[in-house]
Amino acid sequence: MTQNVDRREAALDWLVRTNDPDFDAWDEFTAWLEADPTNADAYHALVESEERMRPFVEAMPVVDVVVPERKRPRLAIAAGIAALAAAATAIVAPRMMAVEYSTGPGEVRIVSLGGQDKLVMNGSTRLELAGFDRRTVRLAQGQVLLRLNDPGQDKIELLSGDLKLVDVGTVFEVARDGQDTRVVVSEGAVVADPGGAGLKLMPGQRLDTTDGAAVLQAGPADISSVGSFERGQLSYVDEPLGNVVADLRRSTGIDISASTAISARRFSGTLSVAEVKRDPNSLAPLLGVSVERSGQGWKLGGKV
Amino acid sequence: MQHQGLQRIFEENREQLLRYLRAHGAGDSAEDLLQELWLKVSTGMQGPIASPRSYLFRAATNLMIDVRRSEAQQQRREVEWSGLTDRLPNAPANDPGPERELAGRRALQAVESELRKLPPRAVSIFRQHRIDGLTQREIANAMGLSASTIESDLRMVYRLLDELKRNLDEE
Repeated sequence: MTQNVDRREAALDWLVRTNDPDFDAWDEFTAWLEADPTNADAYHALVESEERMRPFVEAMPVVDVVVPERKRPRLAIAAGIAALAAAATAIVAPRMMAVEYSTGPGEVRIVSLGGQDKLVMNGSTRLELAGFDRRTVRLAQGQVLLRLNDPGQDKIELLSGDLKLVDVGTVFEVARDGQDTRVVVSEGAVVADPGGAGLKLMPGQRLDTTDGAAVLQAGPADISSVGSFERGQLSYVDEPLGNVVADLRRSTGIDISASTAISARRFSGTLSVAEVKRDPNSLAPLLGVSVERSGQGWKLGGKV
Repeated sequence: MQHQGLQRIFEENREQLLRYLRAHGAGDSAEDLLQELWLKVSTGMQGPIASPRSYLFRAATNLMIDVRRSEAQQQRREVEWSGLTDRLPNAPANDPGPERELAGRRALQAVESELRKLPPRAVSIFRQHRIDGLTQREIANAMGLSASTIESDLRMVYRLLDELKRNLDEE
């Protein structure tokens, strides 16, 4: 069975390569096919699946994809240096280079952190992976979910402004808006400011802090809300509307803002990203606010 | 690339093309299929060809896909693909009767909801590559992405399509 899975994975690699009009490694492909007669079976099974199912992808509504900005020249330079440098440097240098990732509004992106460890970026998020093996995450802006389940990997360090978080084998979510950071843990544990306060956050706990804060204090949190953006749902228990609106902006890609008068109001419940995208007016009865068009975006208001 | 030029390349690669057809499971029909391949490429040629060797191997691949498809169709009972694809908008109407129609619509909804879970970027890359025919390099340049990102997105879509098709086969 494992062998079949491996074969299918190898066949997937070959399908990706051979479907490219630029592909020209035909002798290499022949050798793989000849290595085992069932390789061709695995390859053709995938060809057939793609052929049969492609019409469904064609029929899907087209979504505008925002091209993420990335530091391409920097990567090109890194490769250039590696090529010129001695062998040892060539191996180490590319791994040490920080890599920047960003998502456009409404875009969700999964980044592998090595092994089974994954980082899921919500929309309008910018971060940098740095350090040896890129296990340091510098969150500049936005929201990420970390699924760190690989026991074979080193700890992940996440920096949000002046707040440092270290995982203890875990699933947690971090959001950064302006100077504010919000951390919610659903599995395992996270240590905030390990060199100083050393606050341990357990499942069902959250930390709301701001850059320069002198005291870190944990509060209760709703575990089901962690990573809900990945499922197109936003769940809250007693969450300030300001945070809800920031999440909505990221997940829908729509410019939604709230008047200062209502930002401190609290909301409990679940919002469907698709529903809000379809009609921002649907927020009015759910949040108990007024919704008005404002230029390209929408403004939430209401009586205090 | 003139007709004669292509014939020269074809003769030069004769043995490798035969090996390639056999590697795809052509068996005893390999020689016949090679003849069929030459007929196809020599009659189907339109305008100059940039890389004739790749052109021949590409045509050989498509030929083997056709051969294996018709073999598979003879061997196994076909799932009601037509009933399913006809539910797509703009598909030629084909009334399969209320029960099959209902089952088909359910299956289509399941497929659509799984496809919606794909990241929009991966869907966009897949369409540009497999429907618009852009090369991976062209997409990478246009979107400012690395070649490996394009590859892993395509892989994700191919994998899901395979899983969805397997699920439909089981129903």
